[in-house]
Amino acid sequence: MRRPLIAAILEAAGIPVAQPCDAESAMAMAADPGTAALVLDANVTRPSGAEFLRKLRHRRRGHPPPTVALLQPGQACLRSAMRELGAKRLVSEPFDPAHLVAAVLGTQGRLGEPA
Amino acid sequence: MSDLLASDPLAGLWLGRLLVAMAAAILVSVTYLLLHHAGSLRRETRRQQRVAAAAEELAPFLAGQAGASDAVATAVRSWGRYAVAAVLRRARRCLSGDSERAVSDLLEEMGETRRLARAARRGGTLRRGRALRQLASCGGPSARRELLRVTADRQPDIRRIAREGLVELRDPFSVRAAIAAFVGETDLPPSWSRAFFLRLAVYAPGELRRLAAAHDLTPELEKPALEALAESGDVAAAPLALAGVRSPAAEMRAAGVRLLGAIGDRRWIPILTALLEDPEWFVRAAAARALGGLGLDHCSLAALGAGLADTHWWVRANAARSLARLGPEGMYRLARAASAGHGFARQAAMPELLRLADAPAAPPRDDAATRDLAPPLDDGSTRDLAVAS
Repeated sequence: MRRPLIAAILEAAGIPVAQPCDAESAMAMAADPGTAALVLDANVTRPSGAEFLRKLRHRRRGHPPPTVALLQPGQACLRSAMRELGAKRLVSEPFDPAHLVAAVLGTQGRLGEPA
Repeated sequence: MSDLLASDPLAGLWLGRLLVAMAAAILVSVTYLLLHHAGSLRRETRRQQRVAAAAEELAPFLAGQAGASDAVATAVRSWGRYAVAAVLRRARRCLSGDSERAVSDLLEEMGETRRLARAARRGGTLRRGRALRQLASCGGPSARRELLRVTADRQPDIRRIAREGLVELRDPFSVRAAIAAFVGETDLPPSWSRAFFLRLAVYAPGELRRLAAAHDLTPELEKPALEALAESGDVAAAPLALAGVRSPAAEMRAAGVRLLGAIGDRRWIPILTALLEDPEWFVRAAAARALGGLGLDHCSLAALGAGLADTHWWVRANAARSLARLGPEGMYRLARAASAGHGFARQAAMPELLRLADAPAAPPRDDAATRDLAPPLDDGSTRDLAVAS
């Protein structure tokens, strides 16, 4: 449910979105230099969100696209792991759609820092 | 057996028939199990496909597009009630604010909340519990009413699920009702209390702080309450943590130390350093671990260096791990302890140095660019990630 919902929220805000169907195509899309930002569910499995980011950093030679990591409530350890791996914004579920849009735009410098 | 076969020629025939019958029974059972498994798998796959299709169809409406009620009605006709309700419940878990309320209204409108409330009143504990969990994920006033009613159920399991469901509804009234029901319980298993506090720490940390500060909890419950706050890295719980580290009870001191470490404020370094000399080893171990997350400081470097020679191995191991986290100066201390330190210190430092030698280089941090965009919590505080490590 998350993927189509997030895509719909971002598209409603005028942000074009590509939805990969599996981890391999997600990696290929994220590794493409044309990708402006990545919204990553930190709780995905095979590979885990942290592993995905680590591989992506390697593929993009230390310069992955700005990443918004989605986390479940709590998850203090995963939060710091995603932060360590260079996620630019961390959004906790449940989130207000406006916060998610602000986070994605914030990675592009198209919005001031959130209050 | 051979004697029996020799004395009665018909015995061999009967034995053969018995073996054939047993083989046939086994074959029939295995075939039935395989067919049943294949059928279940097929049903589940179809069900998942329907949920995925309903999610694609409903997502734009859940994101704010007008006409959500009609879209839900159409989706129910196309994909079935189960798929649509599952999509809406999952969407409600993701969303907050007006969007969350809108999804709850849709669930109410399609009759899902009413159906689950009915299901929660009959059947065994397992079935009722499942219905109650789904009801909690629907949200809305009807779900709250039913969950409140069930907090006085005869079954302890059902009462627990109702309390946890009320916390997940996240509105102050439901959360306070859940706390009142929890406080009214006696002889709860420790795992239930811990699970309840963890949920509170995540969904309503303000209420958990109030509960812990009011000393309404027994000493056995105060510790897991502090630990739950530490799990979620609740910054606003600093006064509780400071009260904890001053407690005469060692368990409370350790819980307070863990909470201070989770908050991650460098102002607490002197307090944590002093706690490295606590008479209880588990308090010292918690302090050694917490100091590693607070960044480089000369006081903590010296104290952790001394902690490498502690009498308890757990303290030594935590001190070594924390020194490794403090960067080159910590590693220098470890190397010095490994080469010329006390026997205990050498034993603690060597594994950590070996681990560091094997570890891949960490990517650079971008602290300035990192922000937590979690929505404000019920008491106006925010989940500040900068201090959650």
